[in-house]
Amino acid sequence: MDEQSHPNMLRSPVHIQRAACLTALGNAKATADSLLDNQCALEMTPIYAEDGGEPVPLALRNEMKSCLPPRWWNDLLQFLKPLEEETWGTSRRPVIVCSSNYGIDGLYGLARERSRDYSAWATPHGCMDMLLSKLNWGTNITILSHACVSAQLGLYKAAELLHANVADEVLVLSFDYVGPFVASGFHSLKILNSNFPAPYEDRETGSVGLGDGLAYAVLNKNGPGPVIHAQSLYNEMFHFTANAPDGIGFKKALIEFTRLLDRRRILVKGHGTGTLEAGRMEAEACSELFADSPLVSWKGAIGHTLGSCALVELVVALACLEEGRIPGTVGTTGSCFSDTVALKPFYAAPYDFTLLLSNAFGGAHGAMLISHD
Amino acid sequence: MISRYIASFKCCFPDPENDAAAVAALVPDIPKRAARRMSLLGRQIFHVMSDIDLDLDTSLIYGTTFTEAKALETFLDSIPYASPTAFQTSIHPGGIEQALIMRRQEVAALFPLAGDRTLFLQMIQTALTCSTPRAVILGGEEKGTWLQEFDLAYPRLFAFSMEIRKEPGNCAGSITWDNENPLESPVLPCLEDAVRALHSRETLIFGSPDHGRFRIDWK
Repeated sequence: MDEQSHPNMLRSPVHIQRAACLTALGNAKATADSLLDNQCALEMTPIYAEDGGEPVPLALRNEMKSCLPPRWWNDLLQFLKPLEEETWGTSRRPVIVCSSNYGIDGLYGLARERSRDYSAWATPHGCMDMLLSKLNWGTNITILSHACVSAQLGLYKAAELLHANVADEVLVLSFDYVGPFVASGFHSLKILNSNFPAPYEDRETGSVGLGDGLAYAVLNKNGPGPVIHAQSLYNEMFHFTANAPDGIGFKKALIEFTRLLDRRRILVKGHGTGTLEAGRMEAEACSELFADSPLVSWKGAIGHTLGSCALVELVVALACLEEGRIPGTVGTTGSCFSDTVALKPFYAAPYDFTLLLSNAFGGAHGAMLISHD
Repeated sequence: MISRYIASFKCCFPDPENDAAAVAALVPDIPKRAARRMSLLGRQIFHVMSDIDLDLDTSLIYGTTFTEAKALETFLDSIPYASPTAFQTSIHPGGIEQALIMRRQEVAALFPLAGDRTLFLQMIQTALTCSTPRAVILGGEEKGTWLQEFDLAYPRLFAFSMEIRKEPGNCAGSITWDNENPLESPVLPCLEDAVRALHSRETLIFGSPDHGRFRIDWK
């Protein structure tokens, strides 16, 4: 990797006209309130649900089980009710759907029962066909999937569409529900285990928790609404699951923000899943580049909402900013990889911007800067 | 109207009856040990992008309907003793990541798409709206085994790459998108049909009332 090169930021501001999310703790306000109250939604659940397996920390919106329609279906439809009769998916109102999972647990059900009934639910396009059969939307729908930076990609592409003047508004929709396929996969990598996550904590064993999450945001160029000022994407391509050991990838993704921000004060909502190496690299990069900025992660409470985490946590952050208080890093109590990690809630007023980060397998990095106006 | 210029196009259609050997012949330079960690899709993608220089100002748009079919099958077969290797390989967008990791190639904007009927169209739309001066559109499929019985894997192999630029330069063709004058009825070529038409240097006109009108011409 060339140590000097770094990606250009996308400086195409877009407004978040409206947004909503659901986590295991409820809607955006309920999630923000629970985080401020230091509550944790993670509960020990067997990785194969009704088929057993080691219990691991999962934050679920309903019981994890193999069933048809899948357990996420009615929850998602209910969430999308406010958008149902709108003209999304048409020429000037495209939809970008993001997820790392889509219907991947349809594959688990299919393999378990060898039943064709699961086929229609087992692919991203199958899930979208099901959704379009229920919603009065057009077909201008882009399906993105890049592991845990999926939703950040959706927001980035929405800004590109708006600034290419091919859309008046863009709906970015993301949903990820945990199931045995993903839980057993993370468990096989030993990062999902019998410990609760403690993001950025310097301890013996790293661990993540996984959570259900869904969110949408309607973006446009002219407001009103909070502004995403700049976004950045960077992919190390060092290894399938590991970052370059010197942590340079984390800095490359963020270096341009330091120039943009000059001396304005920011808080950083990090990716912080609870893994040790990535947590240390992220905390150290943030500490070096944004020395006076508090760093928080909320995945110790709501779990890692996988491909949806960037959008889910953006909407939660907006709710926190509305309340004027930022939750600390729930689940972490010991000494951390950096002094900038904030464990307790704090007031948002001293900070001009929030920088939100997400990372994924393959050394993928995403970042976006939102204003507090 | 948005226009871009085609700088290069490359594709492959390995023999599905002899898929492993056919793909191995495409990429003789990959060390055997590394090749064992790569899927047939990943090695095809490595092949079709081998002549393209990449940098941080080039957006990558990657599309596949069934992605890492064999790794998915292996992972599902490994349950309840879930295989970490098969899990890693099965994660979308494994094919392009394998190829880029093999090249040790850092990239900035990488848009991995999924989908079926509108996949090719959405890949083109995504590429045409990139803010970078260059974009590379890549994709393909590998042949699955038992997932094919459930229509969840592809029956053949193919892969392609197409580099497009904002400046005409020494171009091989052009792509235009007119979203003010849409096609009245949808014309949505599937990914393989589109790739075969591009391989034959056919003019392609496609789109729908929701997407507008796309046209690909060759010199």
